[in-house]
Amino acid sequence: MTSNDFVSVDHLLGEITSTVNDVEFKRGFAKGWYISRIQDALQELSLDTFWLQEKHDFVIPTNCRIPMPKNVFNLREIYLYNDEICNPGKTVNVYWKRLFDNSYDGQGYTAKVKDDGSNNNDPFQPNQSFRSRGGGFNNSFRGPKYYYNISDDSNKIVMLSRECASYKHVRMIFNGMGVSNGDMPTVPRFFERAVVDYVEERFYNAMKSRDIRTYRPLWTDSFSKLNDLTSGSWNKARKRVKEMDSAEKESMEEYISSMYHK
Amino acid sequence: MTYRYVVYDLQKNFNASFDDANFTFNQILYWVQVVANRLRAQEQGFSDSDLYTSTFSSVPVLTDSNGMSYIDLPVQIMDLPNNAGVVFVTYNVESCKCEGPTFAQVWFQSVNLGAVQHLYLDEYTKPSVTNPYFYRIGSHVDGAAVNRLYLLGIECIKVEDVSIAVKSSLDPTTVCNLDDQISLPDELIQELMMQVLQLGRFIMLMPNESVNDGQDGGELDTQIYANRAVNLPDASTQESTQ
Repeated sequence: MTSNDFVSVDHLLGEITSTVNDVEFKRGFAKGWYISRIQDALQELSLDTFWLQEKHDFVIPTNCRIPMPKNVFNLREIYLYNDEICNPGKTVNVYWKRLFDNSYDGQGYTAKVKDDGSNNNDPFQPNQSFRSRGGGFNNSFRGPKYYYNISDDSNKIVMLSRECASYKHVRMIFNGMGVSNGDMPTVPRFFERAVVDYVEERFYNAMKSRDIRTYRPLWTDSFSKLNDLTSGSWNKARKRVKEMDSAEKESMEEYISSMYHK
Repeated sequence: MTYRYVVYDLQKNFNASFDDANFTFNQILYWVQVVANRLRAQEQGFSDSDLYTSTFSSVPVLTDSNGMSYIDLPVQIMDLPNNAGVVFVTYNVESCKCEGPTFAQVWFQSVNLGAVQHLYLDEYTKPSVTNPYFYRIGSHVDGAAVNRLYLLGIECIKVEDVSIAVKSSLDPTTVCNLDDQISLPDELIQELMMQVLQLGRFIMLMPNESVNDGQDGGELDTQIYANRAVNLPDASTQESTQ
């Protein structure tokens, strides 16, 4: 997402409260209710478009288990590195290992396919082997040493293999869900229409229970304005995210064309 | 239009219609205030202007026996929907002059007492120093008659005073100067006079049977109305005269 331009919550409230006729926050809801809906809108946009990415760095603990940070989802990248957070040195990728589980507090683990030779005699799930470039099997190295999995507990833990502990830090890049609840949202300018329309739709939806004759037609209009498949602001917002990063696409096209046509 | 002008005119009209009735100047003045209050609230709903708004730049914040912060309303206010009788309550911070006046900064938002708990369910609506609220108690607190606005969200700081603006009502019992202007737009004076005359006429038409004269027995008074019968011209006399 190549934009560093945001609109303030007050800017959005100025338009929203005028549209719904609640500039004094007396006819509808408290000011905080509107800010909460703005945060909801950003959260939904994050889940729909993956527009927000967050980077988190941790010192690797001895038990190789790191609680997932709040307000994030969808781990995108994970690296191990030495030296300092502000200046990473030697770096390796960490890969996902299916069914890897180092619960509860040690470096040992269970998995259907092991890399330590402990299920040697299993006819269905033999120890993982690595075919070397020179041909033949390299039985001394059974698969990547640096891998992770995420626990299925309600309290999500990123579980790292014990070899990861040979590095000092781990960097994980997630998709973010917006700011923490209670913090002031910052809204990218290209989402302004979608967020405004989302809050208005939520307002009229809530007000239906107070006076359905007045608010149902208003809600229907706002619902269309938000969700119309061609002109709705929500779909426009999704398209905008997908159409961004033109330089990356240009580069990608150049890489691919270089591979096959030169 | 001054009180003196309007009340004198009304008194003259009453005396013309009910010449033996004793309408005192003060009584009509009281009716004028009562009716003016209703017209002000009614007109407020139509015009939504600030003609009836009064501002008080420094109202002291007090603390009750339960540690709750409140202010005593300096005037009686209109009881409009959604606490619209209180236009704003804001901090009185003299140094806060960066963007417009203080009342354009942090507002105390209105909330009904029964809905206060709901505010604490959402991080964004939770009362705080930057997101304060008020609710009104207009009857009694622990047996004492009050006309208060309680303040929520400022429990952790000391607030000396606040600025407020309210839609004020008139006190029907107090008119300091008869030459003051009646707090109504001139176009409503005619409505005011009509309403006061209606009020007076209604009182004069009160059935005599409903008046307890303190006497037991005697003949039943056949007069239907206390004053009309003696004041209105006799129709038969009129006909014979014509």
